[in-house]
Amino acid sequence: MASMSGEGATCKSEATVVTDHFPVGLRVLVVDDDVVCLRIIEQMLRKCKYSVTTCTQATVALNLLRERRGTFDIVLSDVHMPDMDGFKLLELVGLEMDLPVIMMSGDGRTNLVMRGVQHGACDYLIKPIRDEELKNIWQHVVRKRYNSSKEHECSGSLDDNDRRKRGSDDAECASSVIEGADGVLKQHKKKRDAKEEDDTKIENDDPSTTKKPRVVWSVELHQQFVSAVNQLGIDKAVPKRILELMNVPGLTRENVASHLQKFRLYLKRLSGVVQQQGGLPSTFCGPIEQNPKLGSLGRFDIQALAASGQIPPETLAALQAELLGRSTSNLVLPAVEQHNLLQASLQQAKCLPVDQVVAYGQPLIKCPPSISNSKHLSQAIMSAEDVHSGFGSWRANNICMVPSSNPPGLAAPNSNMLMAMMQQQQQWQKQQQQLEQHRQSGPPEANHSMNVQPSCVVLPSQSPGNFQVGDSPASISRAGSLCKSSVIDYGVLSPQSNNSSGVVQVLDRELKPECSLNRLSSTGSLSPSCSINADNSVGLQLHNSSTAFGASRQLPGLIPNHLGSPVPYNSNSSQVLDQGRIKNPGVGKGASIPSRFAVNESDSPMCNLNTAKISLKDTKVKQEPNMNIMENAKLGPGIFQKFQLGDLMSVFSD
Amino acid sequence: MLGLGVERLRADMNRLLALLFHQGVLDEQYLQLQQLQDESSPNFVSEVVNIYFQESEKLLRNLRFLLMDREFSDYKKMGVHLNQFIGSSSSIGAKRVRNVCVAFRVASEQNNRLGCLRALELLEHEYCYLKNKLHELFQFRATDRAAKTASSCSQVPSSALKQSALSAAKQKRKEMR
Repeated sequence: MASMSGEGATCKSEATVVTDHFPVGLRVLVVDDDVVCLRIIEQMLRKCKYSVTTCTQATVALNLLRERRGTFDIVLSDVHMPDMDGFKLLELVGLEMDLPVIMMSGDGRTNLVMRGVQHGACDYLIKPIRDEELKNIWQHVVRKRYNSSKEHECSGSLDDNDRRKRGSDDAECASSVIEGADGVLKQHKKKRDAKEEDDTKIENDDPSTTKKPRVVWSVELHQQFVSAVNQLGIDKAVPKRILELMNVPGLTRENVASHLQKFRLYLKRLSGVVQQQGGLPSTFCGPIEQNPKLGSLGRFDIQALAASGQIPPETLAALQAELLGRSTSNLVLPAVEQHNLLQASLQQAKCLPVDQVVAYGQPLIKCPPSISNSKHLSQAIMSAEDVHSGFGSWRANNICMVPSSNPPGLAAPNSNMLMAMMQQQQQWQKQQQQLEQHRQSGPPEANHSMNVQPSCVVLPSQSPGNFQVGDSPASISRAGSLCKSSVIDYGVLSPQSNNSSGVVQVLDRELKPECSLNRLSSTGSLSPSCSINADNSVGLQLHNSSTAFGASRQLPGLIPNHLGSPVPYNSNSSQVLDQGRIKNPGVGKGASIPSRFAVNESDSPMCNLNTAKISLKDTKVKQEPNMNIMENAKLGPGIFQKFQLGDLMSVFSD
Repeated sequence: MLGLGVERLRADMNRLLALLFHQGVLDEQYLQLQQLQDESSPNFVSEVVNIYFQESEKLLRNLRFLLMDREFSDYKKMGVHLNQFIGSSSSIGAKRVRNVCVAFRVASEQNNRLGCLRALELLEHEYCYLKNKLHELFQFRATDRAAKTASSCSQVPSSALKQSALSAAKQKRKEMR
């Protein structure tokens, strides 16, 4: 039950301007299912002379926020709530009302805080919450207004980047602190101090003078916006045209631009999250028990949005169209051929890891029919998620080219060449994409027509026969669980990427951990798949891919040490191990975790491509794996913890 | 002498509080709670602590219930309960309860049933201890308050000296906080 209290929420509908006693009367909505915390925080906020409204349910809070738009300045939300995940509330609030949201939790583990940051929380407080922390929350309100008052598209994105950087820096600090809320709290305080410094600068500029009338994106306005975007197509939607189409008086190009930016980010995030739910695991990770929170989040997002009328059916269709457009572009065969050409020319260039990446891209391109369809079939309902998930994995293909040219260790002439080719290819893919968008303008059922029965466990002996699984549905036999099927498809396909000699090797190796050196070297050649894995969606992955890349290049050096033990596989190439999983559950278990590591990486859609390119720093590269390891360690069964920790660390710290 | 009784009462109360701090049962968050108590909410601490007791007992029941299921214990749900327990315990400054909860959570994450059971035992013990001690503390406070009102009612004109002594004691108490 929502216990409504607080004197402020009922009246005062005008936006609070910065007044003489500014933070006094700040309208705060607190959402927490824990009544003890709720009562304490309420009292603390009262002491700060804020006007407080409390609420024990996230759904009630959301309704409250929707019904009484503009009567709150800031939201404090718990992370764990039974009716709705705090992160989801955060996301919805961020998209709909553009209010600053502060997350709070007794659980200060890095991955959780990171998720908060990724979902757009402006702060993350760890319980017990102290009044010093609450005294200062007004700064977020001011900062938000300050940022939105200079709503230029580019400056906005720069700001975002800054914020993201800051976020990851924090994470870096925090990741050095293991557990222990106290330690994290200290770090947290440090961060807050830094923020306060920022804030004084902002204060000097006096937000009240720079402030413009804020646009409240009501549901109707948002729908108008969405339909305009749909009309233009998400790729061609530029603020100016959207503005023309929307034809709303008082709305400026800047307003639209920032909303578009937010919308894009949101889509990206959706696809990122959903992809974890479907695409990636089904491709690479196999029957992993997924982190249900992440999964449900993604699913929930779309459904909840649709239900709330926030995203009308057209948007879903647009989402699908967009994603499908991209995914199908990769399905097109000519692109594949070009891949091959590229690859052929590259092979002479003695740039081994790279062309293996390229080569690896190939089966990815051919996989889609089998995987996506088996997925669709088994899920019966064709929803946006399916497309997303399909999209997630294919898109990797686009991106995996980018890092391959980036790593600093690469021979310079080659990288130039690669760059050129990459650009060429991207252009090509763009063209394809457009073509496909025309062709596939209908709902994604079009894809459906190429039905493939979900295959079930494929035995090693079958694999040469199933060589062409991706292409010929006929070769796939019985029905099985969708995860399994897709993994197997993939596993079977992967030999395709190598030259014929590799075919059996790959499968063999999984069966017998002790293997000769040349086999191991082929592990090395496979491990770039790791980078593909990690590449899957957006910006951040770029670092990763280069890390994974580096790791794979070092692999030949590493392997002799571990020869005969399955551990190096665990740490180095999740993909290889996923195949192993089919036959060797022991190794497979371990394998599923590194690959989830990749999944986790793709959970961070915050970094833009450009940041990633600019700052290919070691620190970042190191830091990300670290924090993910923490999660992995938790998820994994006890026995494997040591391995993952040790090995992942060693790979990445090398 | 009533004034002396009040003094002794306060001394006892402070001793008990010091003991609880020394034992690590409570931490400075409890003092924050006391600072939050003011004229607008004179019973804030006891109010919050009572809510805490109610919630905790609910959580403890749930945890025990979850662990009773021998075949299949829902560790995930346990984790959710424990997170809440950690949050509320740390918010009132129940440090030892919180620490046991953290250990409990670790055990539940490892699906370690035995560890969970042991942690639950410990948690129940710590919780009971905390509850008893806090009740004791509130008892002191209640008598203190009763004494205060009694003294302020009955002895208004009797002696200015006593009054000043009382206010000095009040001052002292404030400082102690």
